[in-house]
Amino acid sequence: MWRDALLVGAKDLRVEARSRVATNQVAPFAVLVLVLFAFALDPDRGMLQRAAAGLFWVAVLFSAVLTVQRSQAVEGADGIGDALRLSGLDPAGIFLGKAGALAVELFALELVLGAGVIVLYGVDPAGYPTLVATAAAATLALAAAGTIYGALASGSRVQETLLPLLLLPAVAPVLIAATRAWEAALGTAVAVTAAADWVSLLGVLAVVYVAFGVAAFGPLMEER
Amino acid sequence: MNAYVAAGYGITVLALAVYALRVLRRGRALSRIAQDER
Amino acid sequence: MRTSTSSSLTLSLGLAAGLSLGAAVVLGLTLPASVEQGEYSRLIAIHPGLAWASYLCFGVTALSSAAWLWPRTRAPRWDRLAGASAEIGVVFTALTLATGSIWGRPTWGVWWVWDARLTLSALMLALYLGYLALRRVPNPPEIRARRSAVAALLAVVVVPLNHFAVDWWRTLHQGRSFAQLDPGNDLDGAFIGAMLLGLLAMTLVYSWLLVHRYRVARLEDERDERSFEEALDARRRETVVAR
Repeated sequence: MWRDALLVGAKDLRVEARSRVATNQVAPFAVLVLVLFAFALDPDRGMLQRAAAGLFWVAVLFSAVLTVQRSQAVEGADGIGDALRLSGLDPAGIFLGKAGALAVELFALELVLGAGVIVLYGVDPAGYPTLVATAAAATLALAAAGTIYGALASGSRVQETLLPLLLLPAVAPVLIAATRAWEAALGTAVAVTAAADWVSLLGVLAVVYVAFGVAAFGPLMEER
Repeated sequence: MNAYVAAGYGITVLALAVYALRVLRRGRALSRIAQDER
Repeated sequence: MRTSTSSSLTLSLGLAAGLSLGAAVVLGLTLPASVEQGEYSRLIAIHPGLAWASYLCFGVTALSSAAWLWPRTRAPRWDRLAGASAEIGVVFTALTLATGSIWGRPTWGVWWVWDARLTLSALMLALYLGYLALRRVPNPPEIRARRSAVAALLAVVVVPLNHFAVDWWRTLHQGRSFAQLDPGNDLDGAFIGAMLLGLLAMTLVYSWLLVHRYRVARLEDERDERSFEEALDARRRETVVAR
């Protein structure tokens, strides 16, 4: 399973490294979202600093939708792909590989967005251990959920509109927990909340989504 | 009667009735097609 | 050959549903005004019932999806049942939100508050709207059933997670409908009675709708099969003529 995961993950990352869609299109889009938030919320009133945690994670969520679509698109029009299905690879391995590659891409994207938030919104990243721990758990949960829903929506002509409708309500707890943890770490929280609680909730989310994906990819790959 | 209370009951009964009617009519139409083709 | 999805079963279910719903409405509207909420507490005869029915719908969807995925019980009827129940569930969830919002306006002063249970219901509505959208994607029946079943089971996982996240985040709701009331008190007794009657009425309405909706789903599947066979026949004839 793990060997198959590495194979699939490395393949996805190699495709990404050659096509540069993530770096040339998704990353600029994400930064653009940050800039648009600044237009919407006047930067002079301190609104941006206070809302930075939430805006960051909303930008991550939007970019995640694009990245998941990209991750499904590289398998061709037919979703998980006939070749992948016939390759004899372990379905759980395929899931872990695709989710892992997605997590790496999302994490890189978050680094860019994090720099963007520091530079554009003037946020002070002093509590970086919490910030990084939150990002790690949230990214894993997002990548796993994204891979499952990506596979469910794949191969249809309405894929682009169906995926956000399926994925976003399911990752709402990730947005809530990650935002609260970041607010606590950045000192912008309205109420006093322990970041550790939220990080552990994110850990649970990540474990649940990964476990579901490992279990569900078998039946999903039985198709045809 | 209070307007909010009336609105709550009205919306519920109306929506359920409209939905039920749609399902029933769809069932009727499909049964007719099935019968015609037999 | 029947010309509708009615039968003696739906007739009796429909009659019971109509009668109990009528009784719940009459009882609810004649409830005395309560001290804290005035006339608005009369909504107790429908709002908890709708919320309960929506959970029931999604529970049935989850169970029948599991039955479809389990190889030994796999049959098209489970897929139809799951889809039928989810569609009714969306109607009930939307009505739960609407009546909750109508109840909230006079008691909280606003149409919408970011309260845990309201937010959870809204997320649930979005989740199952997505599920219905997934069902409408034109896929072969087998693939459609498989993907829908996985999505429904995933929703079962997601709803409690949403519940936790939202619950930790904010909790304003006026307690559970039940816990607040004291059955010993005559006035509270009337409210509990109205609420229970509402639960019964919505459950009956749900079962009646479910039978009809399930039969519609079966007719739709049969029609799709027939049109597929016709297309195949037409195609065969074409080849014969061409020769």
